[in-house]
Amino acid sequence: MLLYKKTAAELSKMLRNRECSSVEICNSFLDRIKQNEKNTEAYITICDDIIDKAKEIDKMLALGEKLHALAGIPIALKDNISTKGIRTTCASKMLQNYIPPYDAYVVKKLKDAGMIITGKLNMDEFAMGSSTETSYFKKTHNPYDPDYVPGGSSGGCAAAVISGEAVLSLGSDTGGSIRQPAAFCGAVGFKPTYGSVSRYGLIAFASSLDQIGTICRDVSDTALLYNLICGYDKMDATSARREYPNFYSRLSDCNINGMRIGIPFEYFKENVSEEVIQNILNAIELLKYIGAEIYEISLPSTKYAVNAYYIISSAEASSNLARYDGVRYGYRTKNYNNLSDMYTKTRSEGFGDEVKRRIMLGNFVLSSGYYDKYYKKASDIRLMIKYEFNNAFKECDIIITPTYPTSAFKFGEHKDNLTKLYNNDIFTVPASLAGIPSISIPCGYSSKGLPIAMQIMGKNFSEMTLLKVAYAFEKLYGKPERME
Amino acid sequence: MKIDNENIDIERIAKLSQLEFLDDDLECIYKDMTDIIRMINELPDIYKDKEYECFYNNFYNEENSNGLSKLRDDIIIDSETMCEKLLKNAPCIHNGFLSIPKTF
Repeated sequence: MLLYKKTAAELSKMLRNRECSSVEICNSFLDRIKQNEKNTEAYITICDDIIDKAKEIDKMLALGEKLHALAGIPIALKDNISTKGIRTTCASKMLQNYIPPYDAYVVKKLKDAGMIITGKLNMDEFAMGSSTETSYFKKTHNPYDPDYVPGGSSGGCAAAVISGEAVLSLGSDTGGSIRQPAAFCGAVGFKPTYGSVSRYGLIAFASSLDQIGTICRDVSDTALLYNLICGYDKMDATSARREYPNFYSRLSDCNINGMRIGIPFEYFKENVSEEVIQNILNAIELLKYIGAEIYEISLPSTKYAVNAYYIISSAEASSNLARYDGVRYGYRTKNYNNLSDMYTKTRSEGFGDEVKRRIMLGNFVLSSGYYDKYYKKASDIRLMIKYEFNNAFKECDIIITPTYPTSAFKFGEHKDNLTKLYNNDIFTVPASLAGIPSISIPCGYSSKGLPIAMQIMGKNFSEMTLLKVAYAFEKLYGKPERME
Repeated sequence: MKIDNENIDIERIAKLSQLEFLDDDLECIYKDMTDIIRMINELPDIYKDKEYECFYNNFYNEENSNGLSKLRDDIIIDSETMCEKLLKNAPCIHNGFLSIPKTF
């Protein structure tokens, strides 16, 4: 029995029915990692206490202790989520040897539930990128075709889940970093409402946009994991104080009859591949078939979203990454003449090219004389986008778009055209700027056999609605198998 | 080194960012930054757009603008003189920085 092919919900049931042990589950994933990691290269760090932790859970289950549904289930984390005693690198030379002295809020939740952390996954350096090519350590490969990127920045998460090297994963999304890699690898990527999952312990890129979310194989696992990680945390000033329903148990009620789906057709016009459009239209037809009503809507300001996103995120990054100067933690240059020289040399040697570009852009847009021209304007555009989404959600319950204009691209394909790569974030950045929840689910394949995905967005804290629609669609369309 | 007519000095931005580049790398970052700044310069003057007018009339009016993107004016201040004044009062200075006792 190949346990690594099962979903978390299936494994949880098997574990409670004594059909397998946590040690057997973990061994299955460790064997799979051993066999497949050379092809995928998803992990930066693999933990060495996995079996010991699994034995503890098995012992508790044998004693009849009442444990969380996810106890004994392994999970892998993006390498920008702080884990006490486990190296957390952000895929950067700057934090190559950084071992956090504390756990992120979400990690504490996982540990309290008895989940077993298998390791830390590759990503774009400091989550800046959309291909995982900017990692200091290695290039992660798309499980569908190793010549293609897995997407980014949470590329390691999506590749590990679909290749069977992880049953569940947590990633972070600033402008599409969960949804786009999930789309490229055929996984389900979920960015919840800003504030619904604590950012405490998530290494900051752009604090007003960063959000922890899930990358799983299907919608049930997504709901199960989101149930565990959402909630108020006093350690995060932007954490929302509210009650959350049990998303997993309410998933079975996925009747979407009469649900109003808004389609912003203006999104579909430019630079979107024909096969992406066709697959999205087919998916919409399927939803219509099970009772959804389709409305054409307009979100005119979203055409400015990419530009505004790169201004705001880079401005925040330039401030957040100012702390990496070699003084308190992280890399420090060997040769320097004075304090100022140490700062400059440390940062110049410790950061990669993409991070340097974003810091430079951030400092530029915030510098005297340019602040009004760029930052203030971008902030106003952000408000306009929020306002337009609010209005759109008066006419419809959810909005559907493609997740990305194309399927996965080849390594190096965009190295000479950065701005084209940035502009391809057009579908994911509006939800990030507005702070609304969004889920990416597979809805087809390209002519090259690579996954294509659709994105479902909803108003703030409408996670239950998004998960229901995604679940209803998945039941009709099916879900991808783990790779052989 | 300037970018188009924008009067932007790439070396100054690098200095602000506490980064340094070799000459070859500087050429490369200059090209990348030019492309990126050209991209963000494509943002039109939204304040003349009918979408902005509609947004402003309905949402971003005088009544509720307080606290919503109400940013201070972008005024250039002479930070170098301020820095000099500050250092004048410091009991101990090292390489242009305040020197403080080691605490751990």
